[in-house]
Amino acid sequence: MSKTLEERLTGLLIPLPATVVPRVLAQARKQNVGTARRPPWLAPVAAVFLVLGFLAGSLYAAPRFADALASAPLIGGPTAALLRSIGLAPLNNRLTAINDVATSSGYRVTLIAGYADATQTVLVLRVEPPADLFETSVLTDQFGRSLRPRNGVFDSSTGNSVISFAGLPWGDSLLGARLTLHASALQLNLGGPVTTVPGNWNLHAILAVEPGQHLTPLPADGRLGATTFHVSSLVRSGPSLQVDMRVEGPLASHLTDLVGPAIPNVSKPHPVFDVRLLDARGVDVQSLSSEMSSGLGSENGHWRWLVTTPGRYRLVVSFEGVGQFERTIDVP
Amino acid sequence: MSGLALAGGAECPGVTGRSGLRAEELCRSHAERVFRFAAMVARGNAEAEDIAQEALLKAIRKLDAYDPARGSIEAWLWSIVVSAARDAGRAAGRRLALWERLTRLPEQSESIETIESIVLDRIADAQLLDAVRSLPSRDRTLIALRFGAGLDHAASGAAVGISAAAATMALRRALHHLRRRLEEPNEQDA
Repeated sequence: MSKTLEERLTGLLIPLPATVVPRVLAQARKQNVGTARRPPWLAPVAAVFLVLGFLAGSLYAAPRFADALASAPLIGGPTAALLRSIGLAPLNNRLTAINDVATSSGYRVTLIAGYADATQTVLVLRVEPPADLFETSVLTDQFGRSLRPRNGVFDSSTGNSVISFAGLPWGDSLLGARLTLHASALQLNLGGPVTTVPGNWNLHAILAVEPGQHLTPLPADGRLGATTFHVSSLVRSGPSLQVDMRVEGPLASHLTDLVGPAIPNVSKPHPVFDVRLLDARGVDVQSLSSEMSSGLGSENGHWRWLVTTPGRYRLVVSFEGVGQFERTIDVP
Repeated sequence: MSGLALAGGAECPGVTGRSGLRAEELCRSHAERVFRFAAMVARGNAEAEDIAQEALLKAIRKLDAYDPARGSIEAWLWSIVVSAARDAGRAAGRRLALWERLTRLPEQSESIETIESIVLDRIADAQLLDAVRSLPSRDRTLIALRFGAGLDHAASGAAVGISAAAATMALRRALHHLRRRLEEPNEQDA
């Protein structure tokens, strides 16, 4: 008797290879999978609207922030080099000294300094003897909200590290953020195999949050083929500009595709979708991060660039083989 | 301290979620369906294993962040699995003709039962799986969620961020594309 397509698909024999589960569990153990971080895109969409209303409050708090900056010491030396290496050099003279210390398992961790604005939270740390705490770090504010690390850099010769987290949630910019950094393990990666040292380090900091400024008017929607690109917000905060964009249409599910040949030592596939920010001279502005949160037929992208000077910038959105469009952004 | 005793006797700290669900339970109870999904989404068997492994590993890593108050473990898991599959596709550098991506086939309303039954009678499971794998990624994803993972329309939709109704329509389109793909060699034979 003939079966329908749906019945054939349901009945497809696809046995699970015996190696998969053991490999996953072994890999989990190897990587010491630990504290997971709550992705920021899980935050309720409603919070976005509350942020808009809250900006007035955070602007009110700006004088206090200025006071905090005025008393912030200049952090130099190795820290400046670390900040440069992850594109955050302009933060060097905006850091607030903290100097909180926690010791566990024979390792002393010092939270040296920090910086927070609407789009990022940056902590500078030192571990003695040198070890890296990026993997298990969780940053929590006074309301119990957790931030996940975005990226970080670790200098194994000095034990200094810089960890960048997402921007602090709304509320913190008005009240100031009382932060707790918790790490449950350190990693020793000094040339040999990575060794993990379990422990319990809790470090505390109070940071003023540089308010963000929503730029208006927003650029008009762009279209590439049948796909619409809608800039949903522009936020200028500290030395960065964040662009949020919603993409709807046939191209939305292909934004992360790669194209081009993979030829060893010659070329590698590149992203088919590209979003660039150019300054008034047409020079690419340094990118700080990009993130995509996706659904089917609609994607939300978040791009951050290092923007330290006011002026007219051009946002260039291109999809290889389809076309590109530009929009102008005036940064005050 | 929460932990998971693994085969080697070592501990995996922190891999017991707030719901009390353990990493190993999660892995063992869902591995088969995750692999069925991966086998349909992937372009080959090796990639299917990679996707399933990466998806399960990703779920274990995020287990501590799972909050039962925010939804079922199923919905949470499959959104992670779909994301892992998409990431794997990105890493593989898959390329489809652009204009093919932009082409949306119109809904087909006429009966295709006769052609379908003839075609289905002639093809083996492996050929059917190959045909699924030849579809665009979003079609593969929906078919794999429905017939590989065994999710209903609402759960499939939740996994990819659309409504149940939209998932129903999208799955119908995906099946239509698959039927067209299956008919291609048949037409050539004729």
